Amino acid sequence: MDVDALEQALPPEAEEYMPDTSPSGFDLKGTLEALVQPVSERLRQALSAAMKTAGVLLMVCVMIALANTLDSSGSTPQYILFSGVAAIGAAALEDFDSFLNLGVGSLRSMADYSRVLLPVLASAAAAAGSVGGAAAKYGATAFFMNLLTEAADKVIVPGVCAYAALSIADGAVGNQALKTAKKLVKSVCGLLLTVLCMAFTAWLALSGVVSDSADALTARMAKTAVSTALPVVGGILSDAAGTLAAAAGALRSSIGVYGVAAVLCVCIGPFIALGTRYLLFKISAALCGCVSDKRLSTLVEDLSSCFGMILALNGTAALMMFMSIYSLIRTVV
Amino acid sequence: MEIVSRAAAAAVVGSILALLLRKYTPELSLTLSLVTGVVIVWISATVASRITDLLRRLAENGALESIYVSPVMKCVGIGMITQLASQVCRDAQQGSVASAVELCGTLCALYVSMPLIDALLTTVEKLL
Repeated sequence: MDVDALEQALPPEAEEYMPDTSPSGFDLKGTLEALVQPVSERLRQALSAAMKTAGVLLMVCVMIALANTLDSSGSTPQYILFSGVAAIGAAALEDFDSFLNLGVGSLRSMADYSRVLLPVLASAAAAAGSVGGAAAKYGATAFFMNLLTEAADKVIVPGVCAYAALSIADGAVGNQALKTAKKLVKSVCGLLLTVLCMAFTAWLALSGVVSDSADALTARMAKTAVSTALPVVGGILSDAAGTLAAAAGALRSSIGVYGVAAVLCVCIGPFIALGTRYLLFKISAALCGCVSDKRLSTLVEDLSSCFGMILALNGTAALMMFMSIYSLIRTVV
Repeated sequence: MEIVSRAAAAAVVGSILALLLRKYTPELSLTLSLVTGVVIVWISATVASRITDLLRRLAENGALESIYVSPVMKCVGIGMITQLASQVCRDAQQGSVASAVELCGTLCALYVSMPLIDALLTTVEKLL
């Protein structure tokens, strides 16, 4: 059980917040307290950048609304609407590829770290007596993390890019076919993430129930067999084995807590960056809806959904990791 | 309030005079309508200049990026001028001239939006 490998394999995003820490004697409270200041600073910067962009979007919508007064029927000349769509699209998606790389990079960091964390955690859980359960949970998590990474590369990321392009095209042209295609892409991405998460939860729960029961029964039978087979020493040996298992359980808990802190540190940066964009664009869309053409407010809302989809991808990966670590820590034999 | 009152007064007076003149000299009536429109736009110019000054200050402070806002402002200005000119032409029963003005306005607006369209196409290309 190479516990030092956990420290060495720590992703750079987590190392920034957890320098010189190790699983043994890990102080979670201290780490969380140390996170407050850099996270607040990061939040302030992300809010400032997002508010500038949201301000541009709102200003463009207000100007387009002003142009509505040109025609007595209240409709904006098409070329003005077209320029508004171009301005909103260019402003909102200016750094979109960097946000996309941030989200996907965070997912890959979590997946890579899980390949080091989960074997160590599973070994500790096995040493604590949960042999079958640890193997089943590790296998399930590894399988689903690989599946999520593949889905992200082949479906989610292309889907998000296609959704952004379709939203802009729909805003410019206002075609029903584009609206339908846009909704379809969003539904596919959302459904895929939901199905993966639910399938993982179900598999983890079912395999955990079956294997944990089997492990508990095996451990009790082993203790009974040893105590019965060796008249005097047997009882002492089984008690000693129980103590060792308890010690392994304590180690398992500290490794698990370290893992949770590492995953939290990896995903907190993207969560702040993507979450602030998503929220502020949603608010801008609501405000734009009050003053401007419906196509523009729908466009702003669609562009906020693009950030929301990347956020959902990260959230799914983080949730799977937390659930897996929790189920491995929680196992009591 | 004062600016709106002046503009409203000018519009009402100009419209009534144009209506009275139409029966006798339609050409003068049209000219009067055009002059009234120009006067109202000129009265509104002080308000517009304060708004553009605010936007310029916001752009200088970095609160708003002028690269995105400025082309849209120009498009709105082009739209206003085009609409005013085409309405005057329609009042003069010159529909074809009005359409030509609208076409010119559309092309100018698209020309002014070129940097935005270019930036957007580059972003979409990167995504796809």
